[in-house]
Amino acid sequence: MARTRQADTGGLNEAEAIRRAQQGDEYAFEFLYRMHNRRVYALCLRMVGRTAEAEDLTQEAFLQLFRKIGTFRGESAFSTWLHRLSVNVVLMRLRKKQVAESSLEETTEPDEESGGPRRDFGSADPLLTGSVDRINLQRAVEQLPPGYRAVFELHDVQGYEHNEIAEIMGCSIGNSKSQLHKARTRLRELLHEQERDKAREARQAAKEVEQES
Amino acid sequence: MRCTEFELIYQDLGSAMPPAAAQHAKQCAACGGLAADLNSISAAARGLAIAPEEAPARVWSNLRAQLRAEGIIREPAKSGWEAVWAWIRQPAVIGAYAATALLAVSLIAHPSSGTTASDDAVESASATTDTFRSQQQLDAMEQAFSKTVAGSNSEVDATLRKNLRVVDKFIAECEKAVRQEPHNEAARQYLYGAYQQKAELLNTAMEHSFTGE
Repeated sequence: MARTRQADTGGLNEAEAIRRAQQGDEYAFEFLYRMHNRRVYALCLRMVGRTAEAEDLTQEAFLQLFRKIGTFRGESAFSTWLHRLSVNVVLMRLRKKQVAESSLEETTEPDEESGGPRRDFGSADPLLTGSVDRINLQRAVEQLPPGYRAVFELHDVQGYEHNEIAEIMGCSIGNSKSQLHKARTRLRELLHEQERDKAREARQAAKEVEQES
Repeated sequence: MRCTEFELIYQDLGSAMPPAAAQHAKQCAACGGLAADLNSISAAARGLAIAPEEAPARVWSNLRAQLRAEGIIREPAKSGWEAVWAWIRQPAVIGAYAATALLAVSLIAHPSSGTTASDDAVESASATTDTFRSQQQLDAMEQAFSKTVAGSNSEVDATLRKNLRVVDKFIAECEKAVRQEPHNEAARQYLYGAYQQKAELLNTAMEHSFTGE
């Protein structure tokens, strides 16, 4: 059965709102939207970064939800169903973008299907210097393949548990853990690349100063 | 323990790894470094979270419009206020308003020269309005209207109510002025303008009722 939550408006609860929404009641739709839009919007905003696009995706996620609400039978929590739809909507958008970008330039992204970033076990990678800078991390997150990014966002940023992510993403818990590990490992690589680029720029700048003097 | 085994355990359990894996991390610089970096990334990721906030109001407006367009939501049950405006939209009632406006036009288009004639025109306008107002349905409508608006906290309803009061007062003043100075063209223009304002205001109210905005 669907988990129900008492809301603060008019004594209507989620289960009742779902039942009424299935009959086309506008008030019930609005009630469900008001109840869940914050989390969906936050997820979209985190995933795409731009307000206008996040609004568009939020609208699309709820539209898909409401189109299908007649088929909701309560096998899973309503919020899980909504978040699954939201993640799918966001992933589809990100993947479309990725395809568009890949057609213009050679991608160096790891193949999500074949296991992602490779690492020679036992080989010593340099450690990230100091604590991880939030801006650099955000830049690296934006470069993650959509699937990795979704799991990383849900687990490490938004604090979902693996069992919740598995439900949302429609995968096993083991797969969620594996994707998260690959995402973090890829982020580590990207952060290393950033550090190398910065070091190179610093050397170049020092060289130029030396030449000028 | 080999590095491949360590990575699988780390992937599954994260920092809550068993003693054997922890021991391996201490002895193996590569695996220890990997775990330290991934823990740092995970910790920094929490700083990327954004406080969930309400999606902008336009998201719901657009969504509702889309749901209505697709017939997914039905019109909400009519409140007393909406029932009133539904009644106003009836052709007979619109016709009555149109007649009032036409009469006002006739005051301007065919100004009478005599006091009696002007008085007649004003009286005629008033009579039309009175006739209109005397209709049993209109009385019922006005009562329902007053009740609904009195109980409504809606900003739109409050504004409409306020504007109707202003226009009614203005019409009364104009009628008085025309009675006192039947040859005063400006007074007749003001009266005409007041009738027009009321017609427009009611049109706006009807539009409000129709769109639900």
